[in-house]
Amino acid sequence: MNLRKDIDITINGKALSINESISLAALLDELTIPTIGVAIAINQEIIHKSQWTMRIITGGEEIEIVSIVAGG
Amino acid sequence: MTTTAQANATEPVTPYPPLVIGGEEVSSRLITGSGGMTSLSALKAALIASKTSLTTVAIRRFEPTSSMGLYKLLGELNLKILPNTAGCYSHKEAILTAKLASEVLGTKFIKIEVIADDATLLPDPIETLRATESLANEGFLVMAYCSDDPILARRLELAGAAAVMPLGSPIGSGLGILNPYNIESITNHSNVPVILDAGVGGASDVSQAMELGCDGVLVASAINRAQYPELMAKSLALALEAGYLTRISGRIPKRDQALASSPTEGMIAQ
Repeated sequence: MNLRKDIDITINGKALSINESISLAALLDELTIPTIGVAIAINQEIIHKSQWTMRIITGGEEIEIVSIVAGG
Repeated sequence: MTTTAQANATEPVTPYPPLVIGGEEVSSRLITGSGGMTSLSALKAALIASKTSLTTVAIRRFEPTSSMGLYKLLGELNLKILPNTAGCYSHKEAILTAKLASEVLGTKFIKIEVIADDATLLPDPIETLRATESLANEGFLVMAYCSDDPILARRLELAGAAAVMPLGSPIGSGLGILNPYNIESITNHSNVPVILDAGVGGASDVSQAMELGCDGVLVASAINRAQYPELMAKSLALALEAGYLTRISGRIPKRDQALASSPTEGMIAQ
């Protein structure tokens, strides 16, 4: 019996349900997002790369994953 | 800002000494923007033709195709990357974007661009000043895109900007330098590099900026939206060097009356 629950979060403006107790690093892995060339903010606060494995995602959080694009 | 190069009567400095921004050396004074190009291969050709060493990028939500291709290309060309805060309308947005850019790229360079509205794309002076002050205090090398206002340029410098980037005319307009008097006033009084940003259409605009005392020029649309971007990139690189050499060559003063260049003695009809 699977006791894990789903939580609702937002990634880059899109709603998503994920397993609770998942770390940011595990989430990125699951979404196949590269770990270089990206930066992440949760609820407008930057999460440094060194914190990605420790940072557990909680319900309702708004995650922004950004990278560079041609511009300027 | 006056250049460190000295005019030499017999052998002018050529092409020009490197630009130094906040202690960081930038070998080319032509800074390019990467936006608006039709393809990565066309961008690559234009970047090479421009001989630039610093190019801008924007920060946006991650998209696998658009993000990683550009990242790889700029690495391949060994270019320094100047992230910008394009698309920000407040100092808070610009500050967060600057910090994200620093995380992505590991650079302290940031071009602060806080736009007042979509119709004019003119920079908001108040928000720009706030963002500059905050980020400079945190150790960022802020290159502040601003209007061509000498007093604002002075305030940005006092706020800690590593360079000021007054516009020649609105972004993408190709109208050139609409107020050369103001640009020259900024270059005459600034103690940090002055980079002309926005409004360039062609070679004459780039040359004029350098003749007015600018330390460099940032060009995006003029190259990337030209019919032949690679050719235009080459043209603007030559124009930048030409304008710089004119500036250090000791040009003749402007006169109200003509001054003959042929000798007045020995004429046959006395």
